[in-house]
Order: sequence, then C-alpha cells, then structure tokens
Amino acid sequence: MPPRKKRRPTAGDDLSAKKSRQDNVYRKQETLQIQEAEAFSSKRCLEWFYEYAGCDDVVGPEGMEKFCEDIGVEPENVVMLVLAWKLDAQSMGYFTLQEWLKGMGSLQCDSTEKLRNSLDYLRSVLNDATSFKLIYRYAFDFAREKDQRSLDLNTAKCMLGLLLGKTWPLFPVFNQFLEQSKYKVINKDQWCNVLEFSRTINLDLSNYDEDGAWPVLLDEFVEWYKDREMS
Amino acid sequence: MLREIRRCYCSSKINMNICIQFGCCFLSDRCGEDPNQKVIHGVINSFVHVEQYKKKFPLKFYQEVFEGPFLTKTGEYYKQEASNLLQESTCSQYMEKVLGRLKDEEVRCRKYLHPSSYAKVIHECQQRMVADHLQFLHGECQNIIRQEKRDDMANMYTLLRAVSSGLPHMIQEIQVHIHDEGLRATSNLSQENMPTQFVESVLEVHSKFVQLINTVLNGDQHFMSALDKVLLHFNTVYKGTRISPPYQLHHLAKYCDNLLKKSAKGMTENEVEDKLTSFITVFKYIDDKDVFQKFYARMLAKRLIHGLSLSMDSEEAMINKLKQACGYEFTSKLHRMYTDMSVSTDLNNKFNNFIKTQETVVDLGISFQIYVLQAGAWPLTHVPSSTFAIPQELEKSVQMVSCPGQEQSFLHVLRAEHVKMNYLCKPYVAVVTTYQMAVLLAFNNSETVSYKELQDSTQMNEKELQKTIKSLLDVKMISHDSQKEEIEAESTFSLIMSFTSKRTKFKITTSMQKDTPQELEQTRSAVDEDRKMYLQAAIVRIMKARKVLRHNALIQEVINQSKARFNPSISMIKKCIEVLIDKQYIERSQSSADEYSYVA
Repeated sequence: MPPRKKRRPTAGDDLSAKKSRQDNVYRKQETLQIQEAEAFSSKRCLEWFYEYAGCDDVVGPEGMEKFCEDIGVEPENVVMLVLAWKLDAQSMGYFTLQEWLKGMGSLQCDSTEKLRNSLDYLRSVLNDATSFKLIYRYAFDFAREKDQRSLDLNTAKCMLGLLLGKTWPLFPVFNQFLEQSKYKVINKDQWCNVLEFSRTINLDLSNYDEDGAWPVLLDEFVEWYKDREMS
Repeated sequence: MLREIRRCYCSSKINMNICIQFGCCFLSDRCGEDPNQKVIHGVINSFVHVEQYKKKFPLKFYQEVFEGPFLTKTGEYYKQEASNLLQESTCSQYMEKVLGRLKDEEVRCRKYLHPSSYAKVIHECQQRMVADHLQFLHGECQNIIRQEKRDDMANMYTLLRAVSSGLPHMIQEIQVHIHDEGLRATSNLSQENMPTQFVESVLEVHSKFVQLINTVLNGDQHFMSALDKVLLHFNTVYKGTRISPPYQLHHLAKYCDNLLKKSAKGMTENEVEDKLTSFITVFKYIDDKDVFQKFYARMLAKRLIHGLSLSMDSEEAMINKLKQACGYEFTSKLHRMYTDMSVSTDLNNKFNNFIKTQETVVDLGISFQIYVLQAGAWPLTHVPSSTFAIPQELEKSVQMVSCPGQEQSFLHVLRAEHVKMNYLCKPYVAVVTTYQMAVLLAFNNSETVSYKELQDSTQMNEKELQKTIKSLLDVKMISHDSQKEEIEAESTFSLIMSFTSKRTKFKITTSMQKDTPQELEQTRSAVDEDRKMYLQAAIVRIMKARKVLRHNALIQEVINQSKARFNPSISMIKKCIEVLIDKQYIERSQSSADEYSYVA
C-alpha cells in the first residue's frame, strides 16, 4: 500500500504535466489565431468604414443607424457619446473617414466584433472624473449647431440627461427648472458650470454661495428650488 | 529722606481718615453748604506735593491715597443722587438736573482738585447718572424726538454724546423719525401735480431736519449722515409704496420740465433758478440717475424743438448744474443738444439775411425755419413710424434744404407747420404737424375727401393716418360723414366750414406729444441696454488693468465705478460677466472657480 501511495502523486504529476502541455499547444494555436484576428489592420478598418458610409466619405444618419444596430447599442446611449469623443467627431450623427480611421485606430478596432468587445472599456471611461469632464465639455461642442455659439435648450436637456441623469440626483429637478425658465439656449460657460455644480454642491444646496461666481442661471435655479421647497 | 518718611506716615495713618473727612466736605459742598475752601484745597494740594520731587509718576501718591477712594465716594454719592432724581422728576427734568449737577461738579473740581482729576471725576459722574440709566434715557428718546422737543433733544444730545454707546440709539430714533416724516409728507400727494409736490415735500423735510440738526444737535456729522441715509433710502420706500421706479424718475424730470417750460406761471428766471438749485439737492439722493437723464433728455428735446423753453439761459444753467452733480459724461448729450440749437439759430439768421441781401428777390413762398441736429445726441426715433409722401407744396423746400453727400433724415413727426386757412370767415393759423398738414392739404381741392384718397395722397400707413385724422376730427375742423366712431376704408370726410376758434393762431395737439406708457417702457429698456453696455465696458476696463481678479473684488469694483450713475444689481453685473465670458473677453481661471482672468 505504501508504494501505491507513493506512486500516486507521480502519476498525477505526469497526467497534469501532459495535460498542461496539451493546453499550451491549444493556447498557442488560439493566440496565433487571435493575434491574427486582433492585429489592427487599417485596410480592414477602411473596408469596415465603407460598409456604413456607402460611397461617401462620411457615415451619415442612415449608416449610423445601421452601425448602432450592428454593435448592439441604441443611438442615444451614452456609450455612443464616448465613442464619438474617442473619434473626436465634430458633429452629431456623422463620422468622417478621417475621424473613423484615427479614432478606431486608437481603439485598435477594425470590425464590429472588436468594437463590441471594447464597449465595456468605453463605458468604464465615464467613471474616471478627469475623462468624464473632458467628455462633458466635448459634448457641448459636439451637440451644438455649428453656426451657433450656444446649445439650444432641448438638446442641452437631452445631453444633460445622458451625462448626469444617472449620477446627479438633482437632475430631474434641474430639468424641471429649465423647462419652466425663460432660457432658450445654454452657453458654454453655463454648461461647464452645471457639471461643477453637480459635483461640488450638496443635494440640499446648503453649501451654495449666492455671492460666488456661479452663473445667474444657477443662482436662479437655487432660488427657484428653495422657493419650491418652502411652499 | 524726610519726605519719604512723611509719605510713609501719611499713607499709613492719615490716609483713611482724611479721605473720609474730605468726602464729607465735598458732600457738604454738594449739598450746598460752604466748607472752608482754602483748607481743603491746601490739603489736597499737599497730597500732590508729597511726591513732586519724583521724576516718574509724581502723582502716584495723590492718586493712590486720595483720588481713588474719592472717585469711589463720588460714584456712590451720584448713584444715590441719580436714583433720587429719577424718582421725583420726569425725563426732561431729570436731564436738566443732571446737566446742572455736571456743571456744578466741574466748577467744584476746578476749585479743589488737581487738574489731572477733572476729567476722571466728570467721567465718573456721567457714568453714574447717564450710562447707568441709559435704558431709561433711550426709552424716552423716542417720545422726545417724535414730538420734536428741541430743548430736550439738545439736552439728550449733550448727555448721550458723553458716554459710549449713547448716541447710536438716538441716531437710530432720529432716522426712524425722519423716515416717518418723509413718508407722511409724500404719502398723501394728489395724483395731479405729483412731481412738483413730491420734490417740494422732500425738500421741505430735508431743510427742516438740516436746520434741526444744525441748531439743536450741534451739526453733528453722525446725524447729518443719518439724514442722508434716510433720504437715500427714501427712493426705495417711495418706489415701494405707490409708483414704479421709472415713473418716479419721470416725475422728477417732469418737475424740471414744468419749471423750464414757458408756461411756468409768472415765475422769474431767478425764481426758477432757485427752485432748480434746490432740486439738485434732492437729485443728489436719487439712485438711477441715468434713467432721470433719459427722461430729462427727452423732455429737453421737446422743449427745444417746439420752442417751449422759458429761456435758453435757464436751460444752460440747469445743464451745468447737472454736470456739476454728475460729471461731464452725464451731460454731454444734453450739451450737444443745446449747442445744436444755438448753431441752428445762427444758421437760420444767416440764411434769412442772405435771402434779404440777394439782388434777385428769392421768394420761398413759405417762411421756414430749420434745425440741424446731430443724430447721436438727440433722443428721437429716427425710424419713421410710417411711410409718407411729402405733399407737393412742401417738396420744393425739402429739395432746397437737402445737400448731397450728407446723410440726412427728416423728422416729419416733429415738424411744426403753420397752415393759414383762408376759407373761413376769419383767417386762422393752425400750428400742425406735417402729417396733419398733408391731410389738410388734400382738402384744398375739394371739400369732401374719402379715406381712400387720403391714403393715396399721403402714402401713410393706416395706424398713423387714422391717428392724424382723429386729431383733426377732435378739434372739429373736419367731420366724419357717416357720424360713426370708427374710421373705415369707405369713410369720407368733409371740411367744417363753420369752424371757429377763440384764437386766430392755435395748435392742434396729437397724441404724439404726450408721454405714453409705451414711451416710458421704451425709455426703460433703452436705459437697460445702456447700462449693460456701460457695465461690460467697466468690466473689460477693470479686467484689462488687473488681468486676474476674484469674483467679489470685481463686483465691488464695478459697483464703485458705476455708483455715480446708477446702482447696478449684482445679477446684472453677473450677466454682463457671463456675456463677456461668452464673447471671450474674459475667462474663468483654470486654477480657481471664483476667479476671472482677462483674455488679451
């Protein structure tokens, strides 16, 4: 019995050694395949682009719709904003060839498949405060009509909802405030300060300083909110 | 050595004894008996002399041995005295008695004590009799001031001035009183003649209290500033009660207008001058001087163009007064308007002379006078409210006046035409506007004219034409054939041949010459625009100089700069800052959220 006992481990060793060797072989083959598939190819990326762009040098609204469908994301999902930011897209609803090649290159994506795998990464970018701020500021220029300096109120509300809706508990109230206000557009300064506001001001607005440099828009919001709380 | 010994001796033995004795002596003096002055004075002096040889603190001995206990005794005595007095007399009696006691005590001090003690003793008395009963005095303050008992006020002032924290309460009371007085004076003004009454009642209150403060309260600066504060505040109260701010300033401008207009009843230039000088006193208390300026400019323009001014000298004097109060910038437009008028008068004279001296007689057919006005300086609307075809009769003169190469616009609305009417039994001259004339001229050809024809001949828009026709209907110069209220497209009008008027020369007024609420609103928004520009300019100026500035510092600086013209609201300044951020003149600092920096 003792010898058996002794032998057993060795046999097990052998077995496991053998298995791991086999595993290694598999893995190598796999990695090779994956590497081949993973390696970014600008040619494939270009082909991929024209899949959606048709014969133009830009992905237009129709292409965009199909693109979203393919990667399994609704067009109004915040991930699309992050993607647009990565691509440094100039206007909403359009990706130009240049933006596509540069942006997808930096993401190392040349196919729907790969991009779909990168979506989680793109979502995680939002959790980083610094990147989020960049995305937030980018969103203003991205969404604004290019011949105008400011964002019209409806677009602004949608974008705010997209960006802050989940993270800022006061957003619904702020949205209500905007709806009843006389504002028709939001300028960049107001836009940027809304983020600051959402980050630094307590939910009961107790640490809001009326004499501070906040834009009048936010002064009015605070006043409106406090009035409403009173009644 | 000897003195040292004496000092020790004194301090140990005599000290208490003497003190008590002197206390009694003082007491007896206070009670009116007459103790031996010389002895007391001599003894007290000896205290001083004891240590006179010492370089440091030669009075120490005197202070320790005599002064200290003496002050305590004095305090006790007057404490008792004060409560006795309080029980037997009213406040005004009390104050008189206390003042008497203080005076006596001062004399007594001079009689007996060393000079260094005078102030201390008096202070002690004041503490006991005034400071300890401050509440009582303050309580009475209100009644005295309400009833304006001058003697009591003077007494109260003298007493309270001496103790710390005595005066503020009295100032407060005075302030409340002036405020109430002011409110009372201005609250029951009748609607008509409001501007005059308002200015005069404020002036009355002002001069009354200036006089009061000067005679009774020694012209104390604190009270003067209290008065200033109240009157400054007055606007806001006045605003709150009955009339919105632009109306109020409108009233003030109207007040000047009434004075400077020809119609002012039998007032000489000097009288007007005096009134205007005192008006400036009130004017200094006004916020929002720029709004006043707008109204004033408008009324000045009307006076000048329609030739309604009492005298050009008075006009100029007033402009100069405003300049003194608010600075050159404030009145520059008013000045330019004034100069335009004198230049135009010169021009007209020259022109008339020129015509007379011509060899061939130039017959203009009409006598005319023209004013050349700078576009920027006059508060006139340059956009004509209606299209207008110049009547043939006038065309010639208009063409003659126009000179090529210069941009000119004719303000028909403001023109005054003299129309001579020969169709009636007496030749009347009516002073009418160009629009009215155009309508009247249409009746030259026929006695009855249809609305359509009028429209064709004048090319005026409907609103303006209807207004003009209405004004003529109102004076019963023409009649509406269908006798209806409304003017319709089919209406026809005919000249009333039996038209009469008491005067041979008269003016047909239009609603144009009244201040409509619309006009007020326009002025208000024009002022708002001006203010925004002014604030933005100020912000850029400040930021250009400072490069980086904190939010609050910037706001403060802007308020300081614009104080003389108007009080900007913080939110207006903030909006202007935001506009400038948006226009990229300034930006928020990267490092701090509360800071701005200038973008070069």
